[in-house]
Amino acid sequence: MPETIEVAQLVVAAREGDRSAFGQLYQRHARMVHGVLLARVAPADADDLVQDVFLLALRNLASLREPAAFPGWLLTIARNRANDFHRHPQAFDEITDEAAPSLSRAGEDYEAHAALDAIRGLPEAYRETLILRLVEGMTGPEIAARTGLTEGSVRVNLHRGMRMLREKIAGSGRRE
Amino acid sequence: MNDDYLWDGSGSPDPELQRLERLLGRFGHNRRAPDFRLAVTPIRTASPARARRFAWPIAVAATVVIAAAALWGWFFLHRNEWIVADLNGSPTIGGQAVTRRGQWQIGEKLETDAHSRVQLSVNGLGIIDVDPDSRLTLLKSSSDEQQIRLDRGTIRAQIVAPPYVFLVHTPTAYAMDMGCAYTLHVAEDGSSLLRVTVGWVDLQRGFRQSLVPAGAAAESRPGIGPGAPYFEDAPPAFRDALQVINFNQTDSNARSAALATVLSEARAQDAFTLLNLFRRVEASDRGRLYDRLAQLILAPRGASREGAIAGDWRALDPWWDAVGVGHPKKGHRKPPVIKE
Repeated sequence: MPETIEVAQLVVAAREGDRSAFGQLYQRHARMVHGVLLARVAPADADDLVQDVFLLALRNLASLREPAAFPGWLLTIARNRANDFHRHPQAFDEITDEAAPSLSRAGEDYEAHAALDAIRGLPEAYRETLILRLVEGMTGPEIAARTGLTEGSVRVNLHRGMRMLREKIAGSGRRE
Repeated sequence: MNDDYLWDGSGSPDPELQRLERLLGRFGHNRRAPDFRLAVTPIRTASPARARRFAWPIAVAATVVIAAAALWGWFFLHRNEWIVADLNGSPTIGGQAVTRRGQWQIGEKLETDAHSRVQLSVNGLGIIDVDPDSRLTLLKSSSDEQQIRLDRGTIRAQIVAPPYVFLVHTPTAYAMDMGCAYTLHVAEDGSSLLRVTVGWVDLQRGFRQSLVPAGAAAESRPGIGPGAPYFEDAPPAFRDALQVINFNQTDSNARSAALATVLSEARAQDAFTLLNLFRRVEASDRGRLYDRLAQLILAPRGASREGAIAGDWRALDPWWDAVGVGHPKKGHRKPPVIKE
């Protein structure tokens, strides 16, 4: 059964009160939501915001007019939630170590944060797609199926984004 | 550049790409799924068909603006009111039969019998479902503080307010919401069971505190307070032994034997529970507790065995990141001072 139809059926069931159907929607889309959040907020915050996004989606599921549009609608909620998070920083007081990696992080840990920072400095389309591929471990076809982008767009985003990322990493290496 | 590997992982692997995958994989999503089966029913909203029927053209925009202003005014006037959003059976408030859209006022008792339920809603706070055979009292209601007392029965809460706005008094602990959904049951003897489905709940009594994340539960007993939280899918032997450590305050031999069982049965994900036990076991047991923790999870940078054994709880801070349950959101408000 095509992915879109399966998702639409799960949305309809969830809207009628079937919570296990909503759980399946979470299982299918949590990595995507996490990746989109991680493109905008610190890793520890992204972990927390995933739950917020799904809770918001559950509460507003009745307002979704086209069940098959669920993935795109969910992505919009995730992007808005991440933007709200930046607009209202006073709701969260301390910045955790994870949110602000320091130079004291050694070796691979530091490299990992530097690589993530480099991706987050790319244009949005490349940033999200690369995070879904390199951080969340999704394949290009999976990214296309979940985000609603065409496979061609995803392939272009991955190719160009990866090229920019390599240039950026090589550039920072030369500066050091 | 090997585009096949970048596209779907096929073809000959690109070493640089593989290295990036390995480095960045640590940031990937690895949280447990919340149990949405336990989440409360959202307030009914307009169906898509109904919404379409009311999709008026822009010509009525002015009317909408006026309606929005009126709605805002209503919201402002009623922002702290506890409204009965739905009900079944014959619940009572202050001894009187409850009606739909009725209000629950400070000091009033709300009771459900074996066949009745109530759903309450508060603007800006969230939704509380009250199950059958429950009794609760509204203690405080303001924009920055909502407090109820649950004497017995079960509530299911879905809270959207900032952390520490909503607080539930039970006979044995205080459940402070930290932006979450949860179920709280109080038995006739005053003991309670908290099950968190989304977010975190801070369960406290005196110097006993349990921060309970989604997927976990914590019990609380009269005269003792909250026990260490545990994931609900933990092995039964682990959970049974944990109850002995949590609530058997007199038999040190039984507690020591129970700790041995907890340590042998613990899975990697139960490291979170072990961390909570440092404050609950005897100092002489902290060494084996620490050693088992370090077997389950690679000791993080900055962790100190000596500090943990000596009761320096800051020595445990690095472990909280390492156990992988995330962080409770820290609100801009401090936890409220509770007057007994």
